[in-house]
Amino acid sequence: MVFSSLIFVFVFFVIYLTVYRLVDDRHKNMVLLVVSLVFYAWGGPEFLVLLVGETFVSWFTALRIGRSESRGARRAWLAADLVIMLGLLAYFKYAMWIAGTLQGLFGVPEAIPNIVLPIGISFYTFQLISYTVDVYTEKVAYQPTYWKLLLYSSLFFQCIAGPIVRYETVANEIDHRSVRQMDVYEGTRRFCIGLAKKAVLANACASVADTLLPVGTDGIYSQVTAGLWLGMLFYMLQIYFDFSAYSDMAIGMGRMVGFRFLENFDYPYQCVSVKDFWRRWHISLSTFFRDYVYIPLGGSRCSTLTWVRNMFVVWFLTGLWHGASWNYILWGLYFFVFLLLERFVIRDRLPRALAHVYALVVVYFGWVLFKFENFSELGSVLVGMLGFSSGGLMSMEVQTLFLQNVFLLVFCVIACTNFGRQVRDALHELSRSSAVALKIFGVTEFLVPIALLVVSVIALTGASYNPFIYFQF
Amino acid sequence: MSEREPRRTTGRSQGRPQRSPRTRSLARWRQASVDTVNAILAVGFVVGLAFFARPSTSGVEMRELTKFPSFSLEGFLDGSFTSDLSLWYADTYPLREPLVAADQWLEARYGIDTGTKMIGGNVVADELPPEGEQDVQEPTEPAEPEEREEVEVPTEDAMAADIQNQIMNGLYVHDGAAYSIYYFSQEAVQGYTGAINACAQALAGEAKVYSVLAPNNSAVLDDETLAKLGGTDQEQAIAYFNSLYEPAVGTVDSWTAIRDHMDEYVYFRTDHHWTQLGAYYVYEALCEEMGIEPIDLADQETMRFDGFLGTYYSQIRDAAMAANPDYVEARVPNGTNDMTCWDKNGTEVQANVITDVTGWNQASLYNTFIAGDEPLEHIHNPEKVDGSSVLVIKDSYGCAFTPLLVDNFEDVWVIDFRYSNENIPEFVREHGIQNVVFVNNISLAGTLTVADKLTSMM
Repeated sequence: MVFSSLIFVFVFFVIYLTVYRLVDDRHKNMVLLVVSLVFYAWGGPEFLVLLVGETFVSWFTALRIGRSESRGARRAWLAADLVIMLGLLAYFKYAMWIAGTLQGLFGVPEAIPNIVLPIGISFYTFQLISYTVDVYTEKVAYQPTYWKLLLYSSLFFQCIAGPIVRYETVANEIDHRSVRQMDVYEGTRRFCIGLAKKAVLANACASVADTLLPVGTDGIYSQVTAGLWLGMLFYMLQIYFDFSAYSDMAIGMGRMVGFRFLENFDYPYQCVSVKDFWRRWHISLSTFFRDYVYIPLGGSRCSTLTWVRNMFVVWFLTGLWHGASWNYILWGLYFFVFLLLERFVIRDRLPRALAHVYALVVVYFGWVLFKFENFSELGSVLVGMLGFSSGGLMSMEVQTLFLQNVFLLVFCVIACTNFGRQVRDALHELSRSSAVALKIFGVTEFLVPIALLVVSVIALTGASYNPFIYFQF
Repeated sequence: MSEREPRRTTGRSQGRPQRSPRTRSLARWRQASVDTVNAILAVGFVVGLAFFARPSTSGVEMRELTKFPSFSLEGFLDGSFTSDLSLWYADTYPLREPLVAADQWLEARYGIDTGTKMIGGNVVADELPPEGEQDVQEPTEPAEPEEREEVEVPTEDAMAADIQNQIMNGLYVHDGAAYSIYYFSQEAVQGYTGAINACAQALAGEAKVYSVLAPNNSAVLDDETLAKLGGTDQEQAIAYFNSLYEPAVGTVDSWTAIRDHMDEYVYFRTDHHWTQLGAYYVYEALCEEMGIEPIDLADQETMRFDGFLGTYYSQIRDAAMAANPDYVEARVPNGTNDMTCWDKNGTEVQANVITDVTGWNQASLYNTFIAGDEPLEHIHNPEKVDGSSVLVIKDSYGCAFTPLLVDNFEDVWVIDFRYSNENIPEFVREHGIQNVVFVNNISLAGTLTVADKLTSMM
């Protein structure tokens, strides 16, 4: 199930909220667990076994680590956990890609296995790895109760689309959480913001991007230069709104019931360098690689050559995590190259405005690498963007799409920034000294979640509009 | 959870410091907001439970809405059942139509809607070869004809998607009218003409076969605009289609027939079909080819239905179209207005050649002609007793065309090949039919699925 669906908003979410609020405090966690398992099973109950099984492995190994006095035994249990968890991730996510690559190079294996990717495996596997490692490093205490660890790994707020919540963030809140009126409001507001970002902005941007960049068809080879640029711009906006929307909804739903997840996005398109971008984009993943790969490898307190190696490993893995295809690895290493450039050549010497433009251009072309798994299409798009498209520079279709979405584009660009937050903060400050401002602030606080929810429901229903023009029913 | 978890506060809890009026005011607004959000969710939930109010069809979209999925253990385990359930829930939500309309209103505010625009059009058409030439292979290549793999009969859904793509991919909108651009596909054209040639061969000496290709409505655009829009020249394409037919197949220069009257109301502006007047000019050309006298439209009773907003409007919801809808004019044959049709379940239904569609959904007025698209239809004209007969094998362009033939023949049979699996030569022999006329739109005739379906019926 996805958050941005009518059945989630009007059925699942309503039933969950009602039951959660009605039951006694002692049973709230059990309600959350059952609801989370049902939510996960909606996408195919067969993969529930994997989620439950991986959690059991992590729970058991962490238990052994926590109760063991022997350093060797602790290491062995950690190693066992990592082998199983990474092995399962490799099998389900990468086996087909590896087999395909080997077949392309050596002709074997003859047949490529068809393995369906379980929903959310990349997210919950990393969550569970972080838990076991943190128990090993004694950062957190092990969770003695299996179902509570299952609640952590399966919590439907973040299980299938992130953020990668660390166990330490929620360890205390699983058993002891408090909810104030402001938490309920902020959680509701954040959920509605996320829903609107996905249902209205991300989906609208996706519609334009998909029209202009018809991946997998001949149309991608004949798209005009302006169409490629505009399509990628909408794709850049789509991917931010899409991904950050799920984090918003997760953070919001968590806050409504007393979980305080860390922020996962911090206005990434306001970055002034690639390094800055990755401090703002998918923060839970960046910090995961920082804490569990980069620092264990030696971080930056080592020779330059070792640091470069560490960075290479991190960015290779970052690329690989995003998908089983060479373009994702290329995408990760592309950022690796720019991070080296920033450290050794640029060295924060660009004026701020120029630095912002530089960072956005790098990120923009990064999304081109990210979008096209097919290298033939990728090459054609890059060449086309340079002005060598077989279709020419401009077409009436591109003009039409641009004009029809020009206000959407402007709105999306503003929505990527912290403008909205600044307005809210300013009103908040003004309301301290002015009765009129207090009234305006109160009304906006009242209206924003409601308006966003209504617009989202309209957009979600509108998405089902599918005129079937030729055949009469 | 521990019992120490405080319950949600209401702002009146004891033991807390007294809050300022400002804080209390904001708290009231925020609580009201949360309550309203919860109320909206609750209303949405209750409305969703109103199963009796769930629509099963959409008149505007001209389609059946998603059906409640049938349960299977396999579908449940792989997630397809729940996925279909989610789709059904959204597709048949009771308040769907007003919500969809609201969404379209909202989307119209995303930008500036100019009177002239292009929707799609990033299509690479095949190069049109010289007339009569089947393949476009380089002469130096080995002369082994590239045989297509044996194809399965396409499903209705596959054909529908293919046709929809053909009609809607490349839509030029100007001043409240939309025009579909034609893109030539070599393989599809060979398949289509091959199927009709096979029909003519099978019926050699028994019935005469004719091909009528209805041009797309961009036929009424001037040369300069057509050149600017790209796509394939329909005049050349129709000539190429006709050049691939064997001499036994009678052909019609429908392009010239339409083009000579391009300033008249020969196509709708909000719908992709031709008007009956447009069909009439091509019918005249067919009569000449068949050696029969065409009817005079002035001799027939005319029915007119205003407020028609057709398929283009359903697709793009253009405000200029809504402000200036089409009208449908239908001529009632003098011989009879009665017909028999057999629906998709094989049930026999009595209907009219021209139905009075006054008060019908504004998107459905084209259904005035021969009761819309049905697998099989029969019109017996009691005014003719010469044993003459014709079988029309058609897509929806044939609907406006068929009534024009009624006064020329004693029996008119109609097969909509998209819904029928009849073996056409056997059907012709069984009913002693003398003429077979294929009436299809050029874009539809240019899809592989249509070619495959027709081939399967020969």
